Amino acid sequence: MFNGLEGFLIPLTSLELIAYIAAGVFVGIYVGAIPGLSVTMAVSLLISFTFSWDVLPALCVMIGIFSGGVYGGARSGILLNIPGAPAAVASGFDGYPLAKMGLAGEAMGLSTTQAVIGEFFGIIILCLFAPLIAKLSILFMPRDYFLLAFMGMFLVGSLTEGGSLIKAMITAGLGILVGLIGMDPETGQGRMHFDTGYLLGGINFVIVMIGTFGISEALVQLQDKVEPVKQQVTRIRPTWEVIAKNIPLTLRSSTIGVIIGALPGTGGDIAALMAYDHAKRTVKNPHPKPFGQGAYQGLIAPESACSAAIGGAIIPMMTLGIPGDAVTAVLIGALIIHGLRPGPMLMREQPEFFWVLVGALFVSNIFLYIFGMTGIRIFTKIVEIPKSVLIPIIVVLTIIGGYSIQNSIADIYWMIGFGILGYFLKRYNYPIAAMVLGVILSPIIDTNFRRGVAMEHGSVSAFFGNMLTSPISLTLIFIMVATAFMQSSYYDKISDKLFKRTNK
Amino acid sequence: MSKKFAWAVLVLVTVALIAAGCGGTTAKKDAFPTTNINGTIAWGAGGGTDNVMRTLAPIAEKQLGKSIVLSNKPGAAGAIATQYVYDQKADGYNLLMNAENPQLYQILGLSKLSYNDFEPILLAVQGSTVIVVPKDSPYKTLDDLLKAAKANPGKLTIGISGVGGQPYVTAAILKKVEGVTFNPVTFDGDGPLVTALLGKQLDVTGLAVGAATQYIKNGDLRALAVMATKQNPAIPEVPAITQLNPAYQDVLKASGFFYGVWVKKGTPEDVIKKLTDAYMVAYKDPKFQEYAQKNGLTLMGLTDKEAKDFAAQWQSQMAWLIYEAGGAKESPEKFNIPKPAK
Repeated sequence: MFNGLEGFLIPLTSLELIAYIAAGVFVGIYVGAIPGLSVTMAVSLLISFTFSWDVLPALCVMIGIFSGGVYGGARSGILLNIPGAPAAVASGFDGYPLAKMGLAGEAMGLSTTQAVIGEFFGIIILCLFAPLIAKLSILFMPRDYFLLAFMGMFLVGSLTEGGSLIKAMITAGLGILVGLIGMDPETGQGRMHFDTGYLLGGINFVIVMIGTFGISEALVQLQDKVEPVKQQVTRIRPTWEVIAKNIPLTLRSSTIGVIIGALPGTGGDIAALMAYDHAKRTVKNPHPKPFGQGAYQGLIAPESACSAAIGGAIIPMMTLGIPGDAVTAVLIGALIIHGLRPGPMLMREQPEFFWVLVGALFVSNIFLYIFGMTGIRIFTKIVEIPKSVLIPIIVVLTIIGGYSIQNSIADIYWMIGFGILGYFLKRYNYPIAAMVLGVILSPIIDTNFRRGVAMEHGSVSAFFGNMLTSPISLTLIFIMVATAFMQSSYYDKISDKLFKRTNK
Repeated sequence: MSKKFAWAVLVLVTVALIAAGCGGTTAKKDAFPTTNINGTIAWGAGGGTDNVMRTLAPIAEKQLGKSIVLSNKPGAAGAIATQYVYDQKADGYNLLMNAENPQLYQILGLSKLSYNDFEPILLAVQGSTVIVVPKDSPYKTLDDLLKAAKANPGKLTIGISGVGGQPYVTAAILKKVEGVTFNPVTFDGDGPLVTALLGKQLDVTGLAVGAATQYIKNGDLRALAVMATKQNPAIPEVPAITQLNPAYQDVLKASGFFYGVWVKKGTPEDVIKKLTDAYMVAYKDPKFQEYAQKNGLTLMGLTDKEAKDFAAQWQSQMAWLIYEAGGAKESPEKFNIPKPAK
């Protein structure tokens, strides 16, 4: 594992490579901040662009964009309530309320610090435990992914903005239906596609996301006469107290991030949502306001999780040659074109390459802090721009982003459609995040249920029965039951008695 | 006031964008190409088709003097991109970059189109599938596997990438020649199949040689046979299935998967020729040749009639094979796909 450690120094000692990484991070932050323009897309564009380059500069730019882009998504979530990337959906839950209180600068400062801490955590785990986690990740069976996604559905309970669980479940159900459109994963039979070829490929969940968040937010802001909030930018670096007090939460969220990121079927978006859910259930005294209204903890958890997922996603990519998420899938493709196929053979024949990558991640993380912190004052100005100028710009960027995902005009119509739907959902206090959650999770539940049952030769009872004999499934079930139990009133009563808590 | 202004700008911008989207390339016929060319890749970024096309395009565009703007339009096994290019003008400014799949769209009910609606520019490379099992699997040879499958019909689990995909075709070929059946479980392609096999969740699967090579060499997976008439230079130690049993010779005449570039039928001949010439230069470039060899792909370099004949023969073999294995929605007869000659 520590063979070729000298490779770590290569990106640290070459000014040229450092410059490439810095450029990557810088571009990544801005690409990530624009809704719809994703890291995956930026990296795949770079494949053609860097075709004639040497492999190391190409890799450095891509790693830089990866780091910057994952983090940049939170920017637009905090400032505009429009997440720039799926991984940033959760960052807007509390980030935007903070911005509305005039604390956008501090929120972004906090998100930067947490992203850097989370990514460092991910890198450390990548260095120390990569082979171990890789071994664990291939043991996840379809039934475990099923349970994991099912667990993700618990999140609906955390998304009840107006307090109505029924409304959250309605929007989640809608999302589940949208997520099931397209080809059946086992038979290829079209579902809800009305015999048009255009729906056979399903509706991309990023389209649903930027429609329901982006377009609908533009519509809402057009209607409401909200004057821009004057932002305080005197302090952007979060106080040491806020960071130190939340270190346990940061570590728990980063762990969630690394593990979810390392699983080949799930990525940073699910990690961030799960970490947010975890924070909401475990943090008893959010500060300065309750969750959903502007809690630092609501920003700390998803930010550290989605950044830690970067290191996580690279674990199966480097050790097994299997992508941990969509970006690493493209990254593998790029490296193959440059004549390197990540995986066990590369680890054995060129172990220093692994360390070059770790070094590049390390450098990118330093630049993340530098660019993240220095850009905040300019970014906060965005929310102070008059609505009549800002909203058209948002709509244009959203449409460009939506089009560029699959280069499809039909996607723009869907996006506008979901924007109008999202507008009405927001008007009547239906939490739109629950819908996006449904769209993200339902294909995972569906595919893995079908796959798992097929592996048991079509026996549904064996599919569920074997959950009780597998350690991984049992652990997941235990976490689920414990989560549900700890929310119930019984738990409070029992724990009061057990621990003789009197001052409750 | 400013609200009205915002609405006005919003409407204007939306209209402008839609108008921009509708405008096509208006090209002069004489000096092709006068503007940039669009290359629509029918599969996602980072996949096999994507890699081959992104390796070829930078060299081909130098020959043409204009850029080839690549974009991925994945979905429905490439049927969405195929339909998209078919809906554009037949002027050579829209290239379809796809794999073998359109030859099966009709029988699988995915689309009415096939490569009969397009003209080939270049059939670049052909890939084959290798049958692999986990490293500590009890099946040391293909014979072991077939014996176990015969003793327990439909019990051994085979990972496939969907009906019509290469592992599915492999299972169908084994069924046709040996009469063995497996329990198919669908995964989303080579990566997830490797994951499941490394995790010993499957008994057997078929992988593209390029995707499987490093695991075979590292001893993580055991290769039983290559589904081709010749051994693959990337893994020369693995026997071709025809060496184990010559009965496979017929069905493997035109098989495996292939990647290529097409334009819509009706494109002027001189345009096709110019594109073909440019792509042939890219194909012969050492960088591409090296890429193909490293990734276990067999070089084809077929154009024009040769390419059409190969595609037709492939369709006849595979469409009937899948139909007979029970995987097709429609009979190949309905689309005038001839039965393969014995």
